[in-house]
Amino acid sequence: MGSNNIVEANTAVGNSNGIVVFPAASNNAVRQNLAVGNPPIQQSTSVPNGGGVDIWDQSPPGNNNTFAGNQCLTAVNTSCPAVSSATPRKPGT
Amino acid sequence: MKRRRALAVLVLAAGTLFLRPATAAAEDISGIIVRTLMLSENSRLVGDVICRVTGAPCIAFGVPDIALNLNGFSITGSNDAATGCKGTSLGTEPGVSTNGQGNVGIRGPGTIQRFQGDGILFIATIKGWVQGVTTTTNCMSGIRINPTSSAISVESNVAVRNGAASAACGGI
Repeated sequence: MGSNNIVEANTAVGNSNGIVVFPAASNNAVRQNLAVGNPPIQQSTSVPNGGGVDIWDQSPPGNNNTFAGNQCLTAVNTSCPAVSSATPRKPGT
Repeated sequence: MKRRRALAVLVLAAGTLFLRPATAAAEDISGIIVRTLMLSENSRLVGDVICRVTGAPCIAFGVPDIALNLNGFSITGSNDAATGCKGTSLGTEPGVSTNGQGNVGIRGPGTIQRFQGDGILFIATIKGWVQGVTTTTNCMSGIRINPTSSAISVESNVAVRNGAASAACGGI
């Protein structure tokens, strides 16, 4: 991912990773996405060292990438709020 | 008098030609693609597309400021439907590449699936968007924004079973 991008209201399920922000990425907004079940259970059991998470921020903290309102169960370098507390995006906002 | 009237009609006709809206015509796409289809105008699928291109994108943007409308149809690469990626990825074989063109977009609904590379690759693109597209069983990411791209909007898409265990890519 480059810079100044918006990733919003997407669904990522059963991929090797859900949403990945690469090391050089900056000023991106990742918000209101649903990313769960990444990697799929078949991969987890057959490739135990394969890794993979729902949301993975590989960029350094100073790169100003923001994560808000995403629903996920596993994450690296960003939080995975409880699914019940995530706020759906209002239409038109 | 007659000559004046004829001249007026001619001027009006010429004016109508010049005042036509400057919207690009749409290219209709369907069937089998065997070498990279380069888009040069707004385009849409009018049927499912089977892609047999190897070592290059199936569809690539050739000019800026245009869009590809999937129109409810699918673009399918050569991977196996049941086993998905088979673990081997090839970055030069995305389904759709923005190919360095700016202000281009892909609109769903529609599916991009079973490619050896990314489903959709934004590469060297300033301003772009993808909306309402389903990507599945592509060997790399469903939708990938290359580091040379910026100001891309990825909204309301679905990514399922993309990526391989060996690569740090995935849905988006």
